[in-house]
Amino acid sequence: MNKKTRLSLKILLPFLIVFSLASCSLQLISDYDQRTLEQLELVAKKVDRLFIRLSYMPAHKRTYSNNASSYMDIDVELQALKTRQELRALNELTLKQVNITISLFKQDREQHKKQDTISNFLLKRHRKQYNRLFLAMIKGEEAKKIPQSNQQPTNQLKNY
Amino acid sequence: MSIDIANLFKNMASTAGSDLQEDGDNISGNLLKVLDNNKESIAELVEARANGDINQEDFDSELAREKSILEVEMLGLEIASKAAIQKAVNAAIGTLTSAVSAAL
Repeated sequence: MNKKTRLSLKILLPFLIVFSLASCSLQLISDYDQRTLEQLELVAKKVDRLFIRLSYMPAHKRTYSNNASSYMDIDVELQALKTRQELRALNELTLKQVNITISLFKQDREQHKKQDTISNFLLKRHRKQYNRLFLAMIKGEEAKKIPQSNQQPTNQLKNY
Repeated sequence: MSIDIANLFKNMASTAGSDLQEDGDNISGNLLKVLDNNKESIAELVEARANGDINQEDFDSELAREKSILEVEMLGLEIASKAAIQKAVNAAIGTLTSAVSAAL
């Protein structure tokens, strides 16, 4: 190694160290996704609207056919939410939360279809349960936010 | 280039520690809330069964639902814990990077 090469290495090495340190960050979970948060808030609102609507009806009018379009609308939103979560890297935990929510909603829809009504007790209880589910998912997504000063621009899923 | 390694590691630990403490307090507060909600919900269910508001089939199905809901809530806490560790470690790496840059 000649003198010129040694000198170049001496100058470059500290910069290389700094650059490699700067790019070395720990990634345990998916990046925060504003669009997911918005989807969660939207579907939470739609589910709540369905339960409020049902609670305004007398028990004999709470038929499945009177509410089928709301179920379908929420199904579509939940599937869109799931698809977005499937596309995000390191996102298994959020995806699992969404899958459980979808399976509970499907169970409710089937039960409503079978019984063609829903009791006051179950209505009140299931509404509370969905509030808990969406709150847990929203809090989980919000926990992924990183302080503005440490945030790096990301285009991941920007246009999805 | 001169770096006080002992001091640097102390600063890294302190940065990571203060980040973790703040998030850790939030997570334990949320865990208590989750367990409280679960307790309240199961108590309500047992009372409804005792009063005859629901039959055994609904009771069993509601117990299974409660388990799923608790799982979603716990997953939320797991996400928050991972996020807290990630933030703390990255803050410590940030401290190290700044110290090395300053020393150059």
